[in-house]
Amino acid sequence: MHEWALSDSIAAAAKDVAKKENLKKVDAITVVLGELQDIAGNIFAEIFEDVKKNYAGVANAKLIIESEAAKFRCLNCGNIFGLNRKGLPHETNEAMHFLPETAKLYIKCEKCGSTDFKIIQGRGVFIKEIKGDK
Amino acid sequence: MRLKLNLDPKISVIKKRLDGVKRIIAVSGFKGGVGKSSTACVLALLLAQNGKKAGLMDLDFNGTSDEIILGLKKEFPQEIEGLEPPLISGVKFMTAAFFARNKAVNLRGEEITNAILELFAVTRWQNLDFLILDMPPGFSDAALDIIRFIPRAEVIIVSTPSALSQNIIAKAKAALKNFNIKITGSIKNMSPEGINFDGKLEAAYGRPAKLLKTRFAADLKKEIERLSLY
Repeated sequence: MHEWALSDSIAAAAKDVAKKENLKKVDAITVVLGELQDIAGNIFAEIFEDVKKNYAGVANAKLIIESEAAKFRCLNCGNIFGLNRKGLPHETNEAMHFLPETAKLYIKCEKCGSTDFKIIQGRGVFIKEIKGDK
Repeated sequence: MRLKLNLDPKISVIKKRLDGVKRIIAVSGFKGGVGKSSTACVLALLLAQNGKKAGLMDLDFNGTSDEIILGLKKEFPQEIEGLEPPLISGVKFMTAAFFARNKAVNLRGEEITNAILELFAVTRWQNLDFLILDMPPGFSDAALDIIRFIPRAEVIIVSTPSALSQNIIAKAKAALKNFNIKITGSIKNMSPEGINFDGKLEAAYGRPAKLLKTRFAADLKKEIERLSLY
């Protein structure tokens, strides 16, 4: 599962943060899942329960998942628009799932039709907050 | 304590994903049209033919061409705790072309870096003797980021006898030295001092078995021996 590698990266990054900040243990990690990458939160959380055991100091961390809608800003006309999956073939959704930047190959600005836009939010997976004990 | 972050977790696993790879060789051209991609592909094929476990990653996102050189058909990475690259003529192969599906890739600097990080974070190379990186052009943002994220990568520089190529190579060597990057060697393409011009190479694109029988491959094999890669 592709989600396994991303979930594993959350545990690895939390361990790195704990080391840098001298945390004895990580109690909670708030992760944001962007709409564009379309990661299934329940599967992601389930995998995390397994992978976190491999990382010292993270093994008892609680995972809090938030989701974020995708937003794009057109670099041609300035229009800000969201993701509309209607009519997108399975292969396109699959490509964006593995490599969110490929959205630029398949999606156009709703106003001017340009494919030159910036993903301003809701791209993929990132850590928003870590709670731990010194 | 609560730490407010905006942290991309992928950077933390790149080293781990490459743990089973003995040597990482970045094939760089620093100038278009010098034969960087042909060299990277045939180098990976020759290493595999010689019994080495070889991988190839096309990082020239805005101009991927390794899929054409290797003759990619319907192969696609398998989802097993990440993405397992398909085996093409003995070489584990990863490219953005799997996801771009013949469309022009119009990514800007930061987007290319994000996409490269994503691929490194999820690709499971397992054990390899060599991972060959077909690098983005020159010292673009993407190239500099790869140098930053994979400091143990060593560089093979591909050039041609052209004064334009040689001029930029001299500058690139000095810059790589500043970054403390190991230069494994230089290969002069289209030159009697390295790989002779091979007018039949183009016709062999897409057919790895035929590529390995070209004069280009025979000359590159001598270069591999000169650089002690076998």
